[in-house]
Amino acid sequence: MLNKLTILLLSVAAQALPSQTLPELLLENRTARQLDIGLGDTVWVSGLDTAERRFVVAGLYRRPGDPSTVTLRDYRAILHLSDLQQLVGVEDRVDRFSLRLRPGADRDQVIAEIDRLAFGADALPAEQVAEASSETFRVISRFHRALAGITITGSAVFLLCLVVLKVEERRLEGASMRDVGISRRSLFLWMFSETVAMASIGTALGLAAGWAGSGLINAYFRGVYDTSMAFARVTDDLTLLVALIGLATGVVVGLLAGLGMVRSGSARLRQP
Amino acid sequence: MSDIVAQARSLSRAYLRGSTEVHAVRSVDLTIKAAEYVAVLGPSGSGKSTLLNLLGGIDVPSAGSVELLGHNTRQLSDRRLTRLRLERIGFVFQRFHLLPALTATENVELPMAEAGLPRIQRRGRAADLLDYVGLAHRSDHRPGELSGGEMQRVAIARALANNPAIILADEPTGELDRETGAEIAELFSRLNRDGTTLVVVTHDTALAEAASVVRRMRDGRLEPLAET
Amino acid sequence: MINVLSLAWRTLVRRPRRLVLFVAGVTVAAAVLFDMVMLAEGLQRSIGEILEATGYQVRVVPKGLLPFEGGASIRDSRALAAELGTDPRVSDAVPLWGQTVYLSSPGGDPRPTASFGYGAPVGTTPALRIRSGRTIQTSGDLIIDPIIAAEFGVGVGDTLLAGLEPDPAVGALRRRRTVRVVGVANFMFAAEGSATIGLPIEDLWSLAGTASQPAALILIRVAREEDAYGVAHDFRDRLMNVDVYAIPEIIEAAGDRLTYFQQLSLVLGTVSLGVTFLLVATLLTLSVNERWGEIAALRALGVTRGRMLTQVAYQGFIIAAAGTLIGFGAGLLVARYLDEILSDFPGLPVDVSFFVLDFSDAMLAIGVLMTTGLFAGLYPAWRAASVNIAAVLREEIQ
Repeated sequence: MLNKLTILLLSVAAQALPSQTLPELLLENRTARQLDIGLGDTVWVSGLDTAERRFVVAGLYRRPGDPSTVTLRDYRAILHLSDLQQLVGVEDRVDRFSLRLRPGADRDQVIAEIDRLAFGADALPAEQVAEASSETFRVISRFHRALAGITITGSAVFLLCLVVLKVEERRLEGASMRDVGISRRSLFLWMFSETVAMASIGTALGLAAGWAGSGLINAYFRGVYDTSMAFARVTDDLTLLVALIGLATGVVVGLLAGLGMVRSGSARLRQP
Repeated sequence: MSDIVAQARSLSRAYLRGSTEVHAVRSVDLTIKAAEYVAVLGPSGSGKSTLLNLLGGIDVPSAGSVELLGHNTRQLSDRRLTRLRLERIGFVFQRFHLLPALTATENVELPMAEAGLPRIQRRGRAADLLDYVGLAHRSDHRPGELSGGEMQRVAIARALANNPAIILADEPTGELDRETGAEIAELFSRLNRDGTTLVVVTHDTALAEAASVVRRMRDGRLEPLAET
Repeated sequence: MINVLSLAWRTLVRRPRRLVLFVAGVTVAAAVLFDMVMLAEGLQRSIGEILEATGYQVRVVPKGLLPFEGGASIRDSRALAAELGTDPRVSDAVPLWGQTVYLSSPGGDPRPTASFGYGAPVGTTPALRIRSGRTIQTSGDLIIDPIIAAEFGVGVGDTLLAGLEPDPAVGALRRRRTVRVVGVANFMFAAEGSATIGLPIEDLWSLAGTASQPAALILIRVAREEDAYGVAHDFRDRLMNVDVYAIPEIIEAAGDRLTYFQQLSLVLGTVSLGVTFLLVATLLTLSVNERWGEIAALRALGVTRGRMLTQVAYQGFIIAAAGTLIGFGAGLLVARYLDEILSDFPGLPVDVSFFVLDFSDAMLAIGVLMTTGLFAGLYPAWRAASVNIAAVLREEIQ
């Protein structure tokens, strides 16, 4: 692998020439489509300062599901390391090494030793690299959480609006019930359970809509970016979290509604 | 010039309640003359409120006709009928139907504002009307701060706002206690003495006793005239 | 005062708790809508503003890419820039290249610090703001950013060692040279926390050991703004292996990469409008239902259908207007908060914002919200205007 800043210039003239002993490369799907190149075609490839060489397209591959690169429209290919080094005019140079340690090896010690020896390079644990490269997703994740917070706040306000209307609408009904001996507790439970039921149904419908929506989102963006990556996923944990939040919202608003209903005696309930 | 304010000829009204057809008014003939005080008595469901609504142009006859101040109500468009009600008819309802957001003065002003009267004139007339019904001291109060009797007085003042040719009152004392009802009855008498034509639908015998013409209604039909 | 509007207002404020709640609901929906309107094209506008600030209206880039997207380069860029500069409409054509440049203190700790190096012809200062010192004027000049200045404790006049290739075998930079700090600047396209330097493009080529004079892009300044599109169009037709964009065209092409934000904006914006509609319609429908008797009495008294309809419709308008006004302010605050989150995207230039307020878009959003409120009130208003007076009065006393 080489630093992507030295990616080769792809000058293409695809022909169905006999491959003979030509070196091979793999071409990314979208690149192949855009340049109208197919499997088995011969292409001319050159670097900035090197002469063109012929390669045969031995295979087509799909861009990996990496959100940081999936939306890019650049052309991509995979070559044998030696071929790439030759094309970009460097010897024995790569962007990075990946190391698999023997069982029992002390990783920190290895890292320290490499740092000492490898001038101009840093040794990093794999999870640190993963973390650094996933910063984009963490930002998106925080953004979505913020939006979720706003949505939940809005939902709570909306639910409260509806419930306030219901309580006001049922003033007289509530007063009549108190008159005939229905207890405050029963009135409270009536209003409370109705609100919780409303919130529960809304949550269930929202989850169903979210599940369907995630399917649509994935189908759409997979088509746009020609990838198998999942853009939206409704996990069990997420479902549980959403259900709990929805229920909690319903309980809180239900408490307010129930208290509003039983706050005063029947005389006050009858007031317009 | 005719002194007939309203006239019903073979007036009938039927409507559906659920799947049942109710004949609320059956072939009624009634003439209301200027300055008359007509009371229509009858049990609940006898059709007297429907008769009042037909006379006021807020309901449409199934058969027959209503002539109101020379206009056949069936031949008037909704817009013209509305205008007629605004300018020539005053309504008083059992449940007052004052606008809770407005003060007593503003409630009385409402029909005048609708008729396009300038603000200064409206205010002056509203004050006079409230004074007439004995509520000058409550002019800035909202309905929620008034008693039942006071609200009905405001409603009567409102009905008088555009100097109507006739006032139609549907059970004006229906929501009031006896004593307050008697006060309203007295107010109606005074209105009539001052020349206002009144048609009052009621159970209240005090109101009926003050009327110059009492008609009884039963099963949608008007019984023959009983002069007092 | 009892005109229709004041009557509508006073009817609403009779139930203040209800009104406050519903306005709060519309406020949340309005805030979300404003934010989505700002987000829909915010990033593009922001990038566009930065691109405009550079003073170069047209960009030539490797085919299929946007500026500094991917690692491809344009070969023989100096000759190409010179050729493009001969067009009478062009006042300047500047090749720009970027590479990771390693810096170390001469004679100090040999461990190099990586920075992103912008190479541009001497005398040109595209996309940076000088804080102290001057621009690059000769080979060996170096402009650093405050991060490098702090890292090495250097300023104008000091020297550093620069190279592109650390050689682990010898523990030094291959093909290194001494460079002289001539200025400290903020680089417009530098990401937060990302060390950036500027040096002559010829020095960068020399350090890279390349003879093909590569450039990541060629910046073109046109003498007259109105020629930008024409120049881009003509160059695009002429040049086969590159793409040529005027700034608005870059923004449009970048929009392709920002589909997520646009679609999120569309979805959430639509949901907000739907919620606004539902809230206002629900409140007014219930309000009309509560006031049936009152409405029938008003019609009986001579209030016209049109007046009745207008009064109820105004109520919807008032709720939407109040929610819109407060929601606008709330939306700006929330946008700031969300922008701070999104600004943490790695590699994003510091000056870029995702939420950009455009006056005409804001006015459009306000108009749409108010119209939604008005429309939401139309059905209950129509019901109120169409009340069967006699039937309602009859049911009241039965």
